Amino acid sequence: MSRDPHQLLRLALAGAGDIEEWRLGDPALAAAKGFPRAYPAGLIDDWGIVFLDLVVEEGTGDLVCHEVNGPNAVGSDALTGESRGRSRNEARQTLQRLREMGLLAPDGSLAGEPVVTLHAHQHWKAFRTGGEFFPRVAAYQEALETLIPGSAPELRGAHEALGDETLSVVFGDVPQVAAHLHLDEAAGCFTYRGRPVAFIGNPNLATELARAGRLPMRTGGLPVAARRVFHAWRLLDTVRDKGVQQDLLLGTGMRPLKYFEADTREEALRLTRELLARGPVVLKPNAASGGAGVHAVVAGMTDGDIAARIDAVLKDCVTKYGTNADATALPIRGFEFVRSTGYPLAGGGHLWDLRIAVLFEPGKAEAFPISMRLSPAPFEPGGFHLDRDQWISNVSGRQVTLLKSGMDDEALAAVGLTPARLEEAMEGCVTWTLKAWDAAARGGGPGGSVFEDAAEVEDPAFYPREAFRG
Amino acid sequence: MSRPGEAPMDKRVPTRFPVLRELADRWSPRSFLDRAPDPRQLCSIFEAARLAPSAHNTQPSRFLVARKGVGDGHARLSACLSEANQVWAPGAPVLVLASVMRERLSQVTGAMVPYPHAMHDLGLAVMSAIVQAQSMGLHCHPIAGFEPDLARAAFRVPDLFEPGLILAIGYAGPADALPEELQLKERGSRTRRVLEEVLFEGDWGLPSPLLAAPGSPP
Repeated sequence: MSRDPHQLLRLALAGAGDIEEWRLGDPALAAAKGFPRAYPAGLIDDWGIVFLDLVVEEGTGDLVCHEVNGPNAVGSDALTGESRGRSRNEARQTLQRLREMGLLAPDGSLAGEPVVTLHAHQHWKAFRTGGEFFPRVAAYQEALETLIPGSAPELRGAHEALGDETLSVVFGDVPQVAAHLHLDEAAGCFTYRGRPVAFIGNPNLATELARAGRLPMRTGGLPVAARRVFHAWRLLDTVRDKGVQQDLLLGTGMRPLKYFEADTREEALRLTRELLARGPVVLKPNAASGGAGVHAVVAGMTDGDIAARIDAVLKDCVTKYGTNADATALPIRGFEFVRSTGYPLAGGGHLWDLRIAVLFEPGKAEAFPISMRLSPAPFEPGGFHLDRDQWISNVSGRQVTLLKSGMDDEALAAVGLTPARLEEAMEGCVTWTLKAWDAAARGGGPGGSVFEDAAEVEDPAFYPREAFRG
Repeated sequence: MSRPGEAPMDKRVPTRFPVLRELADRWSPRSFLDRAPDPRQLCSIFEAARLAPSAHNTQPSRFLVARKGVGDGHARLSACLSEANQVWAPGAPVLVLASVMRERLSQVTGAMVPYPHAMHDLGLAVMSAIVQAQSMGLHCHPIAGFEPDLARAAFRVPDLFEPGLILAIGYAGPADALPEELQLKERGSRTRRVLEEVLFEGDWGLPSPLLAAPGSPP
């Protein structure tokens, strides 16, 4: 009999098409390999998790990260079969926020008004992550109970009213949770069904409120207490901006991809044409997740074909998120298509990517490989843009038969990821996280104060000059 | 000489050119009244520090505040002071451990690199705090005489940060509340080099002609 109290739930969800990364978990192997790997991270001063999706590029052998996801993403159970480390991390952040909000008594117990924490999973139309999500919420509740004596946190579905508990752990899908989530400008914090919110596990809730016009798209102007309740709060805007993610890859050992940003369909068409000179282009909407609105464009396509793909980017967002999606889907970004090395299966080489998680807390980061996703069909350069099964996105290639553990040495070797390269990749992911955290604290991004130092770009040794040393 | 209940000593330094009143009036008392600053005043002081400039906008400064009568932080920080400063500084109602990042992250190379401007940037932030405090009737005394390693251990300061100074904050008190050997220092005047000694132009050591420009005071 399994010791996992969520096994039955997971099996039931698997029958409904759930992604079963938990099946890859092997605590003994993880321990033997020293995963998660700890790194010093003095710059990190809060809690969070990010997920970087990487490939080894065919031909160049370069490590390339095609996307970074925030705490909306899953897979944190693929290492050991559960997400307890992530739950504890979430709970510790919650504890710190409760302290900042004046809701903890000197003895560490809850004091003051009842308070709420929120976990939201993705929209039901594509909900395939329950095997990770529900056990994590349960573990979070347990962790809170341990950290806050006498708190007796009560699990509440987003469909139900809150009770007389002092700490409610609410879970549900993004629209359901967002329906009761409001920014209380006067109090400077979020409220859920009228109670202050101390933790929000999914940044997509902010995007959902922005779509509804209830929150600005850029979160920098939010009250401090409202921003800081999100897990990995400092990266709220970064995880939605796939362009800045690429800028931040400079200096990580991973090659940043060329990309453009376009605020109109016309501009997107023109810039796509320009980028096509370098090879195929992947179009992505702003602030979407789960692979929604991702389309590939190749050089042989007519302007009409490309315009249709650009329209499809926006239409997909409306289909997934509703008519308000127009408010957040722009700018459209186009990225150079990166072809991974091939994973050999019957029929030919399949594209793949490897997801690496970076779980962080003040002073420390932990990295670990999660899973390799394989595309369902072998890659065919002449027609891949017409067949989504040939390339990797969140809406393809998640069947358990196409998942390989990130600890599977044989699978990693098959695509050119030797143990040394995996270490290099994990270090690069931690460096990205440090850079993103640091840049966000310093007003990074286009027009910000971080990427504008031409002297350092041209000569990395420029600062500090010997003459400056005391 | 000021007495209990009297206005603080006037230590304004005569200047040849007009400067902000807060800068002219500022001085570093050793004697503080037993009167806690308002918490909102303290927040304003650190808000001012937060706004200080820094190289690359690194924002390397961090402040750990220790208020007398609130927990044991004040006593623990007082214990980190040098022997000479322990005579007077614990009398300040607020002590602040001002620390600074020793290294910064290069966004270009992704590596942590030395940050030789760190103490300079901490100084800018501390001076912003001091001017803000002065504008609200408070006085500050930056203290270099303390044991950084003791402070690091006492307050679990991470390795990345270097304790740079302790800042005493409060309302200036009467000199005669101090031990006798300090009263003379407390009543002494502020002495500064003249501008000709610090402002050069053309070459090192050459006083700037600015100072002799028509209309300049003698």
